[in-house]
Amino acid sequence: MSRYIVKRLVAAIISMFFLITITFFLMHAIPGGPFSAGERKDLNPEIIEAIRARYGLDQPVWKQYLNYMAKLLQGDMGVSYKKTNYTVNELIGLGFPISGEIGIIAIVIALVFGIPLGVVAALKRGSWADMASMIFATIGISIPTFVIAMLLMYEFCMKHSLLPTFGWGEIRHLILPVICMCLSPIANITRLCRSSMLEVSRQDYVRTARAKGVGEGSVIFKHMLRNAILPVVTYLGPLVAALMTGSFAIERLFMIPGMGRYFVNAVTDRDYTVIMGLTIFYGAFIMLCTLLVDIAYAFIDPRVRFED
Amino acid sequence: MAKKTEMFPTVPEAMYTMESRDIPAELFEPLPEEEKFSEQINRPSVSYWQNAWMKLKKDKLAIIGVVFIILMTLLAIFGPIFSPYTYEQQDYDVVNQPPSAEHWFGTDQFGRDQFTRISYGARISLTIGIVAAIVNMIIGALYGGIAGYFGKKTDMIMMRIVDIFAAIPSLLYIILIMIFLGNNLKSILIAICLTYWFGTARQTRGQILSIKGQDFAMAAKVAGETDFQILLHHLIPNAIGPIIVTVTFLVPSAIFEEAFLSFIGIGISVPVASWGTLANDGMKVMGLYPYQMLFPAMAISLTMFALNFIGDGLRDALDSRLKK
Amino acid sequence: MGEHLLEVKNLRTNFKTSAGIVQAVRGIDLHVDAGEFMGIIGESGCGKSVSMMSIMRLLDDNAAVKAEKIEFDGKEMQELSRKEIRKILGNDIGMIFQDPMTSLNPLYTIGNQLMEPLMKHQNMSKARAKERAIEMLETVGINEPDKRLKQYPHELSGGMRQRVMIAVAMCCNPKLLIADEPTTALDVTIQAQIMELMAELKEKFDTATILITHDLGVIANSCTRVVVMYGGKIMEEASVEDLFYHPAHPYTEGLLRSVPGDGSGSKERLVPIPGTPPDLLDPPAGCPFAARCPKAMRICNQAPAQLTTVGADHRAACWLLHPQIKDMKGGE
Repeated sequence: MSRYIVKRLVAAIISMFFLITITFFLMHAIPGGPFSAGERKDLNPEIIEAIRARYGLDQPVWKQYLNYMAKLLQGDMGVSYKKTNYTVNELIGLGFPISGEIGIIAIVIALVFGIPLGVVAALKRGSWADMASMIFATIGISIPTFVIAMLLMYEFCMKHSLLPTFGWGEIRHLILPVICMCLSPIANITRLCRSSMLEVSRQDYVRTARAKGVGEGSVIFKHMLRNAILPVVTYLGPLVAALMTGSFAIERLFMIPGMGRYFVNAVTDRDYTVIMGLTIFYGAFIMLCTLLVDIAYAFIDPRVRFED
Repeated sequence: MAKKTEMFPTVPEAMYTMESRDIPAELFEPLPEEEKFSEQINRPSVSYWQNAWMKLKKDKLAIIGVVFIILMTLLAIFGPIFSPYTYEQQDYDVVNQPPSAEHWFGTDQFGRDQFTRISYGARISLTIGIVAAIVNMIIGALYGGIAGYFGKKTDMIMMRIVDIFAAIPSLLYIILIMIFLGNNLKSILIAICLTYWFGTARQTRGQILSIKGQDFAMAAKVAGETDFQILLHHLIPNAIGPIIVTVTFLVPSAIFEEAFLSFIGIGISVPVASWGTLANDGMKVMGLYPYQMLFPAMAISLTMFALNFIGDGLRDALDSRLKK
Repeated sequence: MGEHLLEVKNLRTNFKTSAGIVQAVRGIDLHVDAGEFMGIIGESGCGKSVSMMSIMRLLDDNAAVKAEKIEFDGKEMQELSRKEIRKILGNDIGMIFQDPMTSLNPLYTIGNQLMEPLMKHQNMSKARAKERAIEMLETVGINEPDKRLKQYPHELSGGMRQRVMIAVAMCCNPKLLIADEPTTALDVTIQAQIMELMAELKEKFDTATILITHDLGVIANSCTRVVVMYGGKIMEEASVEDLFYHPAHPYTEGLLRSVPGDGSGSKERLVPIPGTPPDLLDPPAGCPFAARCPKAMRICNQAPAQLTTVGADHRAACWLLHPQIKDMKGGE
């Protein structure tokens, strides 16, 4: 088990190294970066030179890279180029709790609705309940989140003014973003759960359980569901990461001051340190979630524990 | 109960039983060889693809999807050609109009015809979807095929590389590449093509691994075909069914990705109209002119629906595990 | 009659598929007496497993089962509710399946899966069930049973897993054991061990056993009575001796010719049966074997033959047994 975790951690660190390196050189390969002579005509050349020197931009790229890596190892991701009185770490500290809050609520709702819907659909295959949940699930995966968000916003905020379009701090501000964010996960979990329940229901061990005379409840919950839940657990890793680090579209639409909005703003502003910092944070967080999920998987499935 | 009788077709009463004593003597003559297998010969043998096509034809939702995509393709090709307007032509006399006979989907804040812009958007979306799918299938199938076929160290190294890159969500790469290459159709295509093939490669590798030991591959090897001939002519064609299914689902993902990027403002830039930028523009004025948001939103959603239906239908048709 | 442990009359099982209705079992009669070791033999897809699953009601929803009679231990199974059936399954009837690699749930320990029927049917406490489970594992020849209880299926070999499956099936002392190709998925040496174990257990517990197989060798060594199935029908039913030495149906003869001899060193060649089994989507009106039968007559394609008595406890369904044939031969 511990060997497995160590192996996974090493793999994650290698992936992170590549991500950071690629990001770094992509950022620096873009012609006319921030504070280059052409970019800020409002400032006179000496000031630009001074700023460049302050950020270390006057040094050769490989040296900048080494500097960045050295600082990163100490947990320092630099200062925002645009919001110069904030460090990247501070921005993450501001945005992440907000995105995380919405994300966790959305994940809980997605699991609470998605799993039962999928299970019922699989058990009552061909029934109206199956049809209804599959139609819902297809809608959920087909309509892009931002389209759903726009439609809900139009319906609840503009036509009927039931809910605020934007703002942050009260429960009513949470309702629409959470609905938008959990719809597609619910749809995906429903589909996953349905197909894996159907797959499991064909397995020999389910037949064995029935042949033992075990009650139907026990067949479904003990022998089928625990096996069927495994693909959902795998899906949960990237999902948790994506939801907790904030949806780019939702946070922009509802003007939520979360990580996703910082990232989009940074991209449109070409705020390179923030883009880099957030990319690294995303990458690391996703790998962490995947690792945690894989460990959880091993607790459900004994076959994984003994593989090195 | 009606269901039960239908499950048991009545067996026609046999003319003779063991109790009969009046069976004509000629019936006890040997059965001629040619009458023996008659039944089997009459049954047409159905190939994998014929079987899949038969199944797909029965899937109403998939057929609706196919018809919708064909219509959308026609709109994408001919819409901008036959329309009296162009996607960038502004007309300040007809700003923010609701749908009418002249402007079927209304006009936007610059008086541009929404129908023309949406059909032009269909060009972008469908191009992205199709190109992404084809490029990904080629790269993924070749990469995965080579890794799976040669195995051992080659496989190990090639798949580790995929593992490393696939650990990071494609959206991050796409955004980084977009920043690097600029906001246009070409860079979106490059970005999506560079990042989507990991899944296809992994899947192909798995498929190739499981079939490369089978007799037909061995036979080809014994017949002296080169490794690449075996891979291209025998292995990949035999593994292509499930790969096609995965790639079908890539089409809506790629279209979604473009719409999404354009929507958050880092995709295709003005004045070119993609569905994502149209939705974004529409959203800004949706309180006043809901049509401007509604039509692009519908175009995206219905196309995604249609493509997902096709994908589901193809999966059911091509997945041999469901054959029973 | 009523003295049979299990009696089945005119059992029909159909499956609804996308291609149409598959008639997997087309009217078969079966009976097993207490303590009897019976074999059902046939090629894959001949309906032998399906008929057993139909009796146990273990088939999926797309299957429909109809029979004049399915009587087990004096009870008509078709009249029982699912709940009542569950009281019989695992308790009075134990089942072993073909593939031990997939028949055990990978997520639970051997102990957990073995104790499940004990606690459910015998109302045993956890501690008592554990004792009994250890006892059963010893009985089926698994060493270090208390250690095995805590292990997961993937930690055991195929042969071991099949032993566990046998322990699961036998732990409640069932009156009937149904073994569906219990050795097919195993290595030859292990096959012999498992068959030996089954024979041993049969002696020890006097459990009636139905052995489903496509392997004549397995039948020869263990069963007393054999039923031969083909195309969803019973072709022949006889004692093992009669079946091997006086087969009455051409299909049985074909089966016997297609396996290696009895070790007598005869130089007879193995003869495979040409052709393929009939398509049960659209089963032939006559004898299902007619298309492959070297002795087929015109009548065979027109009407099915019914089981006819050949000798004591020996019946076969073949037109060659029709009295008119004997008359014709006598007349020549």
